[in-house]
Amino acid sequence: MRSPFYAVLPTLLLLALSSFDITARAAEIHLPLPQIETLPNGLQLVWFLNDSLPLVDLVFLVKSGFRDDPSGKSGTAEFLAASLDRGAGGLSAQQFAHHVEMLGASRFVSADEDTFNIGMHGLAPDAPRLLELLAQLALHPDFPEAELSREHARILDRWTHIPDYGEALANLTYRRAVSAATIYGRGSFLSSREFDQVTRADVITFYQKHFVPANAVLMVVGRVQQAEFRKEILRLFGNADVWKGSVTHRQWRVFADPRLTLRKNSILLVDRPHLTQAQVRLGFKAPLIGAPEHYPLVVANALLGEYFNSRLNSLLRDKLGLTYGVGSSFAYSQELGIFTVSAATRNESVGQLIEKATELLRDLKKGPISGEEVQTAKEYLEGGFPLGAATLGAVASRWLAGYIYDLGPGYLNEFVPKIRAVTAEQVMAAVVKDLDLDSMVIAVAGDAPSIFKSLSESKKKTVIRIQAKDLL
Amino acid sequence: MRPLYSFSLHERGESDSKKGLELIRKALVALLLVLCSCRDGKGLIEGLGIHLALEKHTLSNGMALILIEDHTVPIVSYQTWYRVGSVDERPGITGISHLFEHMMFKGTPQYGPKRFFQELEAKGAEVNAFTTRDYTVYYENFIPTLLEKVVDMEADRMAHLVLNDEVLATEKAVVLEERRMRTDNAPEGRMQEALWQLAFRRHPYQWPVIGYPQDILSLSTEQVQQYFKNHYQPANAALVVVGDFQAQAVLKLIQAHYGAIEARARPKRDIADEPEQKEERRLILRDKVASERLSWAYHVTSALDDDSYSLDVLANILFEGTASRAYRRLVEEKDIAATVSGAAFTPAYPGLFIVACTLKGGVAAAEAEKLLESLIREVQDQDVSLDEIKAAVRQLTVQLVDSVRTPYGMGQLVGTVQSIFGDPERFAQDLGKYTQVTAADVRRVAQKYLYPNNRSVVTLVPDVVGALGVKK
Repeated sequence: MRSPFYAVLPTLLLLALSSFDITARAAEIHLPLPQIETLPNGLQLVWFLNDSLPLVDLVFLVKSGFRDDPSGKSGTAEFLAASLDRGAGGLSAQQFAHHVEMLGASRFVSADEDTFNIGMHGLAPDAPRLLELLAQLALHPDFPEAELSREHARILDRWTHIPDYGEALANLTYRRAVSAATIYGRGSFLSSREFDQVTRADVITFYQKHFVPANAVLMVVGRVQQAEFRKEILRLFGNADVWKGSVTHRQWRVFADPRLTLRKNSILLVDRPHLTQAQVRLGFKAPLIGAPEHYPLVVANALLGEYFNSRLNSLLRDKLGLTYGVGSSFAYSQELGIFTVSAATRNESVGQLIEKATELLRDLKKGPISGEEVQTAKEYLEGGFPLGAATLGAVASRWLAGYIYDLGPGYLNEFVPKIRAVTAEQVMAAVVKDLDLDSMVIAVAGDAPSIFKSLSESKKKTVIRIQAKDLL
Repeated sequence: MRPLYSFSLHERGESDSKKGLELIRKALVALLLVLCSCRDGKGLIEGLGIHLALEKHTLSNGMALILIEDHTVPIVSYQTWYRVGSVDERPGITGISHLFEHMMFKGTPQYGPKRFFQELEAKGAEVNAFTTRDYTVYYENFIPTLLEKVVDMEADRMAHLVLNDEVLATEKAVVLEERRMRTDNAPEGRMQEALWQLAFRRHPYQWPVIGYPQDILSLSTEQVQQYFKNHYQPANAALVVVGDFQAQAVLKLIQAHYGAIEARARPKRDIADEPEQKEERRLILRDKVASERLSWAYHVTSALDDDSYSLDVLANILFEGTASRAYRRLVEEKDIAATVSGAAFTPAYPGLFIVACTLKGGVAAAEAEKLLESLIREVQDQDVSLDEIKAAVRQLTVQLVDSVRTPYGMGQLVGTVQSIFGDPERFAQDLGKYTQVTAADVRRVAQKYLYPNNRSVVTLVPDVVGALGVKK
């Protein structure tokens, strides 16, 4: 019944773990804190232990990502992530898959703007074996030439599939435009032409530079015998003579895609012929997650576009029937916050949807925002908090977010008290300060001719038409 | 697909097989849930570190009630399972079951429109619903203090839902947007709809759950009201409540709120059998996509037939994970596909064994068909290995533990078997039945169902000018 746009909090890791003990009722909920230590070689070790279910998650996190792609070599981090399990520790890609899946376990390797995440999920009795496999993946990749060559071609092939989906096309366009002139401006992959320049040697150089202990975290979540397991970790990850170092000479450059140059009051329209529904994204840069007004903005976002009775949903879906799914959200990288309104609507109503959504944002900024509306949003956020922290995996993910964004040890348990303390005045002040409507980016993907007609009937926007191939 | 993930048991040599089977069974017994039934409708779910009490009751008006206390986290999952889905529709009113997913939130005389969200979601509850071919589920996940309100509101809308022209018109528009998003503008959605349409000619599984646009638009308020009267009533519903509550108190609460709802005869399902398919059916679709896609569907059996267990095992061996036979052959060895997947969908009536594959750019779907044919011949001609059995058993175990780690997950497990079999304890029996599957069973079902004349094939090919504007 609800649309997928309601998934508003970014999930950093796909940890799926056992339940944990919450020390009191929801009002006084207190999440378990991890044990943290630093090994002699600089690797940080984080323990979230609980033995209620026979499961374990092992996560190896490296604090480098797309932003660290060398100049002119966008896609290097993504290529590295795809290459790690193409052969490691002397095992071929197929042998490695077989070893993991024989245990009934699963593995993942991914990269984002700021981090690499490599993980194993399986049964607790298999934790030692999973740790060995994780160590092979993270510390002993073989980078076989033939495999990397095939993986390079596969990434290029996947890239050509983006225009198959209007949603993917809209996300790519919007994200790249709103991130312009930041260190994330290239995204994960700027173009096929640039990726063609990325070689196996680039991947190995990137790996050697960034996969060093002082730049990494190993997190153990679930049921293990800690003392024994720690010995194994020291053996596999902690040898300061063999594995050592920290990242030096880190230089990030800002980038803006010249293909997406925006003028004020303009709409980026990416053509995807024959779609009957357009994907719409609009938004702007937002304060970082650690900004003082973060929690007032969380409340503002909730009342604007998070729940069913939010302003966006009440008008665009419930009253006007323009869309099945509309929602708003904040997304964060270390050096960038992004606020986004997302919706899909039939081609003929794109102009109306953009106008109405913009009006709602303008109204929000103009105020007033009633104390009652703020109170509702706070109760929604507070009451929903236990649902989002019902498993140890969810708690660990939350902790990791705080760690990556350097939010301090109190972050894990500050959500409810901080939300509770937000006032209507603080929400209004944050909205006035941070809703940067003059810098709003609007991206639409769909059948350009029919959407163009809809847009031309709406007010005062210049439409910049782009072909999908020009983005890739 | 069956609610429990599939796993496999297989015997290669006689002595090896018995030994392997015994080991697997021992491991399984140690890990899986055991349900100990008692005569008074109470049971105990034991295993996996879980110790949960299960109670089953039937109210005087025929409504089934399943209560599972779990005090691990301060959360309750309240799920109302109505035995109504698209299988209960007929041509001309397709989509009416799913439309209720929307209409059920439109209010009663006591709780007007939007109150479900004001009273529950605004307090942090997750409020949602989904529709399948066989049943429709409304659920709320929330903190325990909301339980009484949830019971009151769910009972109220079962008895007193208001349906009028105005709300029907708006929700029709929203549903059409949902259809555009999920089906019309999604390559996989279009293919799935076409596949079921092609495979079934008489049985109501032939039409999509979301319905056809012309039918959705033509539904009248009277038709919707009559459908509600027929299907939304106690004898056609099962409540599954899992989480942090006291069963006796909740039983009284539910009896008080639902007990007075009028008892009516449970609607009979008069479903036409699908005649045997005697020749292969083929359909070609076109779209602006980067590469060809392929879907196969073989008629199989229902969840009520024990062949469904063997089919799940077969699907697991062929398609689960990157070490599976199909992934190895099509993606790794021959390098012709970007993805390949498959599953046995065995719902309340005979379903489909579905295979899906996305080819790499420039590769014809016919190439994948040849390889898939050879893979199927192999499982029809030769036994699968003991290693494959071990992997499948462990995969099942991990997935099972993952699925029960939240009250919602446990509720889904119990509600599914209650809806299909009328027996909430059936899931424990299901697990036992998987352990009985032999290599001969796997081979037999492969021979029995996976033959060309029993197959429907949908191919999606890039339009003359693909999404990238490149002429194919």
